[in-house]
Amino acid sequence: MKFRDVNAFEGSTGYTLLPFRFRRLPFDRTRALVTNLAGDWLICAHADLGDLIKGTLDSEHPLIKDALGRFLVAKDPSRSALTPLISQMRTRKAYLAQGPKLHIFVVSLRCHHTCTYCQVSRRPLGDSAFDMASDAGSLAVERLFEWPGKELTVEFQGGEPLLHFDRVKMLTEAIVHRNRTEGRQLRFVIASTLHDLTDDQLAFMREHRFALSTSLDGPDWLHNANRPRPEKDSHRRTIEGIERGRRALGDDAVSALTTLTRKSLDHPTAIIDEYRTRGFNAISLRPLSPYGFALKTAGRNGYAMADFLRFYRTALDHLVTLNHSGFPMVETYGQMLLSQLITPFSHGYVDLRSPTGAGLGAMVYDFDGRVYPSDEARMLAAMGDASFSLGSVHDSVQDWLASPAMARIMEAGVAESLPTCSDCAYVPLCGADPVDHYARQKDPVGHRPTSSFCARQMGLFDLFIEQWETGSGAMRAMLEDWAVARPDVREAA
Amino acid sequence: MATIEADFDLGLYPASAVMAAAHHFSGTHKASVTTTGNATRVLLKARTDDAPDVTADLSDAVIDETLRAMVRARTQTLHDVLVRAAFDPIVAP
Repeated sequence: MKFRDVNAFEGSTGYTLLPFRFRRLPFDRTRALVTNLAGDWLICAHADLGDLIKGTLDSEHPLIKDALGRFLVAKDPSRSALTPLISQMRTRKAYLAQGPKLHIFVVSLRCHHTCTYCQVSRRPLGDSAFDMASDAGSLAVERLFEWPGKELTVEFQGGEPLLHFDRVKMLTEAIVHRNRTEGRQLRFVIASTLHDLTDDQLAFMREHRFALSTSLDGPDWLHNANRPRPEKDSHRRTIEGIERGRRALGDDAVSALTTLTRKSLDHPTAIIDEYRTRGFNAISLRPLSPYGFALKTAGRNGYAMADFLRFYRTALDHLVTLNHSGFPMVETYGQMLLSQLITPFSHGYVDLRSPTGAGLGAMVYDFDGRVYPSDEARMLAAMGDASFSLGSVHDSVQDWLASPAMARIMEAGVAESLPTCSDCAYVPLCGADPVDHYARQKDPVGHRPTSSFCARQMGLFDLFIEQWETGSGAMRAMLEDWAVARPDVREAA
Repeated sequence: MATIEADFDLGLYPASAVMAAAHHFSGTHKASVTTTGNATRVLLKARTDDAPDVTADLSDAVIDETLRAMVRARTQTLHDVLVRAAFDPIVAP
């Protein structure tokens, strides 16, 4: 049988196909998820979708009305009739016009922990050569204000930034001073173990309304196994730091996230219960990344993405129980995925945007003045591969954006143009991560059938679609609550 | 290791669609695609002993890639027009 001419597929239904993508549902292969160019979607019988595409669907079929409403087909394909779709597409990509919002200052690589999965290639406590110098910091502040964004989140990282708090103070004061004429909306965050916090440090942070982000891997036996200190008391010190931070800055100012090792995967409910015990209403269940010491200890700590997804499914069930019992708790990455799925807005989180967030959503100013488009690029450089270094703080922002490294990122940074991504139903909601693919597969474009990034994104999107469609009333209510609450992008960074 | 061999009628399924479908399984299987006469032949050889049986999935994938090719053929021009209308140029607020 030969294919007929394409005009023969017009059918008698009088509708025109608009560009869309679809995915057969993994949990029900007789149905398909169909997404338009802006990420609006519906689910229908796969057979009906086939008829819609071939132009043989009965004109009274309810799918036609749904498809018209979701801009999968149109009666009138003129521009004026499609203006709402164009507007939706712009809304979905609204972050493009803003420039990087997240600016990470690595004030020191020194740290008092010896975490087995450390991704930042920490240095010993006495190694002050790995502290950010004053001139590098000053130049980084100048570069910060070369970006156009009205909202700037300045995040201090390490190592342990509290070990070089003088630099944190100097940079904060310089930024605040400069902002008197710039008028940006500033937000300060410190990513820290919160160990050995002093009253002076807390007073400074309170003055500038800092948010604190720390690591809490679970109950003490798990946290201490993952994040050893010589004194074997990391968990106790972390809890003390959290409590002191809350007293000084307010409960909402302190957030925590997990890093999941293989040991962690056996204990989803214990990890969530620890967060419940400590009064957190948000948890970030974050899988390992292939950087730094995490790569060296992959044999002991690592796991397949399928294992992480099984863990996440169990965690989600436990979170439903917890939420239904009256204690609200969101999983922050899931919340961002759901807000993409259920609302027309995007939050611009680096893993969920296309073009990629590397260099366009975030910037990293390293202790030595080198500049990177993402934390992962910085971690790669610490491992000896500076492929994605954009330059230094002595260069201009224009120089960084015109650099070979940035060109390499952009060649692989638009998911809609990447093989397999370009046809994926989730691509309007998903992102590209050239640095991650380079780190794992030595190719910024990557091979999607073996991509851990893709496995995670698709696995979680599939899970949420499945739960949205087939989950209990309590599950659906929780997912709705997550979707419409404003995600805190910082917490899942 | 398990091997799947399947032929797809060129008159019904474009060779490019069959190749795209085979690519989906290239993580768990070594894939080779050849054309013989009026058919495109796919050979999928499992990379490990515990690779899943994807026989049914392969047929579904070929059907889906064929449908995707049909959508692309009919909407590519409109796709380009819509993307340009939405994003060219991006103006900062």
